[in-house]
Amino acid sequence: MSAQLGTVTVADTRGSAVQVSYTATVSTTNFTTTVGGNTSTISRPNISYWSGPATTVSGTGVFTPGQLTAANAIALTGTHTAFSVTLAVGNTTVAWNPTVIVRVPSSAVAGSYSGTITHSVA
Amino acid sequence: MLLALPALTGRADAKPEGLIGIRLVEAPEDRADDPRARAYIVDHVKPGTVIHRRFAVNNTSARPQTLWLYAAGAEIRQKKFGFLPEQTRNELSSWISFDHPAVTLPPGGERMLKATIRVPRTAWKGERYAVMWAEARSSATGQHNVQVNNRVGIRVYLDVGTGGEPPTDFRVDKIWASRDPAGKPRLDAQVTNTGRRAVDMSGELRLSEGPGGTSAGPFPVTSGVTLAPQDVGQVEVLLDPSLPMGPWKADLELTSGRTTRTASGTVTFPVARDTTAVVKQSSTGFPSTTALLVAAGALTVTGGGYLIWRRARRTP
Repeated sequence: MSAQLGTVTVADTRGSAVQVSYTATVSTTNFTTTVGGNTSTISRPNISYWSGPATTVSGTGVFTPGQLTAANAIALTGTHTAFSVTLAVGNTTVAWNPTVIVRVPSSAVAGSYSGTITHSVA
Repeated sequence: MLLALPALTGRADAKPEGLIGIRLVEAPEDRADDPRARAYIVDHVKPGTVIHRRFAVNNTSARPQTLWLYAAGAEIRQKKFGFLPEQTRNELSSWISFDHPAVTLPPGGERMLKATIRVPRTAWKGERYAVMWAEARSSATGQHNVQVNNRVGIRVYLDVGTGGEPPTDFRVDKIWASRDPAGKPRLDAQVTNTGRRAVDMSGELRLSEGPGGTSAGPFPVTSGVTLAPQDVGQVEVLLDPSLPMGPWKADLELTSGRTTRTASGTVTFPVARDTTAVVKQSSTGFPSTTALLVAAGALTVTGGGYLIWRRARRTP
């Protein structure tokens, strides 16, 4: 089961005159569903992510996708790089449209699972 | 820095972009010349100290946006400043509090907020890392069962200890020139953090005294690394395949904040692909006098702009 999350954009408007680097990371919670008071879990190793290529870039810098293609998809067991920008000078913007793949274990209880995916940049 | 909400699911939606941000508004006077201290909180304090920093959050989207504020842990791992997942705390993040746990901003709104870092008297010496986050949350609904949170933050590099600030220093151990499988010449340098504080490496390479008196550059360091004290890491400069092989006089200048170190040597890039040659260094390690400029005097300096997370329109 896979779905695109919608475009994520990072813009650095700090206008730094010196080179800066920044990395957007992604992490997830386990996906859970509660049916009749019992909670079932699809654990993080079953949830994968790939950033795909940049859909928009602006400014001066080197823009590197974390996972260019579906073949590079990574299981979100921890905090992973979604996109990195190095050698950025001045204002930069990068956007991508990531895909999340949830592998439903055959043992999973039927239900509507929900979870939270967090993008971070600092 | 700024942050915005991405869409929950792939639903076509004409809603305007959501755009939220956070930025540091002030830096300590004694760090007015430190570019890192304008973007991040970088400080050295004694145990028992309480410091306050003003920062601003804003919302440039066309609808009200609620931002949740919290501090979470960070660490330097694999030569990178890494964020702990979600709201995982560490010692430093547990010392940080905000004057509001959340703020709702109208379209175009900006609000000044205050962070307080309360260092316990019992704190052990050493440098600690955390991030002050502003998080925008999309709500999970019956239709959308993936909640997407986007957050932007201000890094905190806080050193605790009595007396003066521990030194920031690093050393270029060795340099080698090579040609990669694609035929591009490159220069790599191994750097050791010999100080007591983390360093964020950037820098540039200048080539001079080349064939026929040519010079080239400056070429920026391609990969920036963050090194904890005692860490050893590598920086690289990728060059153009058309660059003459040399010999060149190479001057590599590396910088973290207001500390600059240079290394020089005579470089000849190998002709054959996939080969490496060690560069003999002619000198190392003098701080550059040009690294110190910027006016001081004001009690605080104004931080730069925003680092922004933006949610573009949802995709179908």
